[in-house]
Amino acid sequence: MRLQTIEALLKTGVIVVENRGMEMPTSSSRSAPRRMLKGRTNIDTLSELCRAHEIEYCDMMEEMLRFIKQTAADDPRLPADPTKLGLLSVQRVTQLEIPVSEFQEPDVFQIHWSHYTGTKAFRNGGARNDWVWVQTGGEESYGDLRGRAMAQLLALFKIRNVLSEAAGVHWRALVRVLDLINGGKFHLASGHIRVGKRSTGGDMRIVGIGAVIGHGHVIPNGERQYIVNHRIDPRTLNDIS
Amino acid sequence: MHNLGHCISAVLAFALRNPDSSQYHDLKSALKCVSALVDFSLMAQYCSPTSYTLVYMEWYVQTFHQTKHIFLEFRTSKTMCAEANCQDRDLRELMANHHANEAYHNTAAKGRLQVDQERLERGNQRADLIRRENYFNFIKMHYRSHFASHVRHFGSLSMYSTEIGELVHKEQIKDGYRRSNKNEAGRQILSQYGC
Repeated sequence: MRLQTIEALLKTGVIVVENRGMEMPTSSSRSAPRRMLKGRTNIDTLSELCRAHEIEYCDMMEEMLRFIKQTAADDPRLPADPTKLGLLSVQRVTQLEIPVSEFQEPDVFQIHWSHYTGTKAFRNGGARNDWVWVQTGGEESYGDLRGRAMAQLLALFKIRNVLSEAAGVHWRALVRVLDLINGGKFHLASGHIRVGKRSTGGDMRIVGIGAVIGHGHVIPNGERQYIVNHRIDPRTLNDIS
Repeated sequence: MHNLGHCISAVLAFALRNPDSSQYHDLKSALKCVSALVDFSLMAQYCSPTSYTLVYMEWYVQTFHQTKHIFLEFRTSKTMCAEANCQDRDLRELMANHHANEAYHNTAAKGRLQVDQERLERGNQRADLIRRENYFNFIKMHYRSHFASHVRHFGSLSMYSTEIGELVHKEQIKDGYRRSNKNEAGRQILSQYGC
């Protein structure tokens, strides 16, 4: 299927649309809302963050270093030294607001509120650790999911580089990415894509919050497997099927 | 119902995840039927349908009609239920009379076997009657076959949605007022939207 709006096609450079006379403008003057992190807690360090979320500190540090190496060209402001990294101030947050444009209506946005409460209850209910879509690569990767991976939020935090003069705040999310089953192809009998938790570990990833592109919906299918619900809205149906 | 459609397909796929070899065909038909219906309803929400999506919509309707028979037994009206009960009662009486005549000649084991067979026979007769008499021929199902042609003639379906009320104008007016200089705001709001 893969319908796209004129704006999306313009961005990729596939087509050129000219505005002439009284034709409707193709691009909006309104700017897209930004992703926001909300529900801040006290300022800690990475080790405190790991303790609060019951994450292994060495795993976290490994992922941080990997992320810094991957993004070094664009984002060189975080130190690649584990000792210095451990000293940086970190602020935990519990909520990420993701503006997602409506399908075929790029000017209209709906907000997805992704929560991570850890083991704490959310509004007198159970703990809430939301599933999100994470953009991992190009459209050719990750099977029929076309470059997007299903992941569970493990932590949301801001990290500030106080050691550098150009102190910047980096908004990061720690997620557990699910692996594809059957190469990410649609299961013939059920007509859905299945994903699963990795049994050997090593499935945690640090991503910038810009890579979190919206809420995902999965149905547990056994102990470690999940069925991806791609019929949750018209956009997901168009992107995945 | 609107929200049910968002997750019913995946939930059904989970519920029917381990079918027997005898159930496999029926469960696959059930999944296909539900998926076609959900896909159709999602595609009907597209603001800018294309000729491709309209072909898809027609195909989904066709798939639904080809596979809907799997749910016929669950669409039993009160009248049909009463009719099936009546048939069941008549059959039971007939079988009981027949069973009474032969009871002297049969052993207890044979009698039990016969009762089981009769119960199975009655169940089959009931299912046959329900499948024969039930239907999906009602107006909401029939409308779907006209959706694609309606879009071709009159444009996107979302334009005719009755879910959108006058309340949505509130946002436009507030937005327009914020952008105005608050002096004769009405004219500025109207001019902003090209009126």
